[in-house]
Amino acid sequence: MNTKTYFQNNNTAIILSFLAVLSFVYIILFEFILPANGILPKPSILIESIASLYKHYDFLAAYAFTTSIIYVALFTGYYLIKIFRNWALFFTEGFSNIVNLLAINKYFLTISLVFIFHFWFSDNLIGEFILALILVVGNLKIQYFEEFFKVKKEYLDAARSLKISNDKKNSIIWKSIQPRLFSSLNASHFSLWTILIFYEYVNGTNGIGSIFRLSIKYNDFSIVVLLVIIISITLWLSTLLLNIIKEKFFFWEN
Amino acid sequence: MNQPILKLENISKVYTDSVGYKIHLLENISIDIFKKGCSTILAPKGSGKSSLLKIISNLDKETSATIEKSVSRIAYIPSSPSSFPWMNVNDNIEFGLENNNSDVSGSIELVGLKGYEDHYSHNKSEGFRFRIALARALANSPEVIVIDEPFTNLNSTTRQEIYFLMRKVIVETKVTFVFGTANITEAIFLSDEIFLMKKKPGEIIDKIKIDLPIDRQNKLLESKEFIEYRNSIEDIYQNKLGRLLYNFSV
Repeated sequence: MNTKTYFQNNNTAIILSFLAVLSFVYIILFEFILPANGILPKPSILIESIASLYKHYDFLAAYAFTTSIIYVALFTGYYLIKIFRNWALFFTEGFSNIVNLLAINKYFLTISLVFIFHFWFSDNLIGEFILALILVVGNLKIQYFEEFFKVKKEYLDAARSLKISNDKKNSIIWKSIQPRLFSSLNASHFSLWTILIFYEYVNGTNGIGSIFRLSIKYNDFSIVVLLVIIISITLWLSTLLLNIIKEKFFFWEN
Repeated sequence: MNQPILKLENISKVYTDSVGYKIHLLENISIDIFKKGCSTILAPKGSGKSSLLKIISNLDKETSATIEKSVSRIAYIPSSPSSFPWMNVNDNIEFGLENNNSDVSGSIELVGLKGYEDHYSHNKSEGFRFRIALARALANSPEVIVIDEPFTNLNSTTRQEIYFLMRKVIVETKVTFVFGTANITEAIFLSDEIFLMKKKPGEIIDKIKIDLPIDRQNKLLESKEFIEYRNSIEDIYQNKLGRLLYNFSV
């Protein structure tokens, strides 16, 4: 077995071994060699902070708030695109130049929306959900238009020669686009975490972003590190879940 | 007298390339295709045979042409795999069927996919995917099936299997096949008549009737008649174009 194949086959095992080594080095270095430092908190303090995170920062409620908004927005956005796909197709086919102009993401800094929404909705849950939905639909829409022009002509030519209905033609286009569209949920959900945590940080009332704000206010570095670890694990798990769903239901990507 | 089912007269196609030059892809192509059997358009790569096949299939209407058809259903199989990877074999073949009277299981059996009805094609070979595309076309009961160079990416063993399959389908069905290829051996083995086409611009330079046995086996490829056909095709290209064959697979 060559090195490349070995790494491909044992990807998870290698990552876990690497994390184990990293944790070991962290414990030795910051618990025993450098207990007082300005780089990372002591492992024992980190463990003690878990209780504080639940007790003083109301972590469970904040975590449920942020994750619900992110994942509900992701799947709602996906289904909105699915429901209105024929309209989207109509505009893409008929008005591709206008559609290109509408790709405002080329000229618009997404983070600006955070400040605008802060003034419009303040700490309202609906406001955060609408912001998340706009971001997801925006990302998926861009991906949808890009993929539309990559649909294999062979599928459409063979189908057209069978004199199929417009609905069937649209279903071929949708099915061709679907795997990549679903993959783009992965990319969307990373940017969504970033923007929403920032939004919550600015609002300072709900969600994980507000805990970041509080921990910085109280100079509680161990809480920041804990949150970073928890978010990383959540991202890893949700990526894993999205990949499993894709392999199971959208397996045909070429 | 036997009337052609497809009569193509003076087909020309001009397009403008990205730099703005006008390219004459096809020029005054006239072909008569008769019922039953396999007519092949043999042409070098880049001569516009795919465009011609799409015009025949009614998929390309941007052309100056007169096409008289006494057939209404023409199925088209493109050069790249066209079976839908998100459907299993059975759903692929049933795709596009307007009524339930079509003989789906007969088509599946004819192309050798019996037992594979539940299989998906996304991780299958191009040969497998071609069989699906052929069965789907057959299930739609077309009068003509147009096939555009589908064997280019097949390995030699699969290619031979598909040749025999194609001959079997040509002989056992009432469908007329129009086939495009750049491969001389393939053209002779599969066809009942061959239209020889040149490139720049694409024009028909000759037509050859292939008078080989209906049931064609491996040994035919080394027979005297087969080699004579091959030599005569090469001679035609050399004599009419004044140069050696190029861009052809032999």
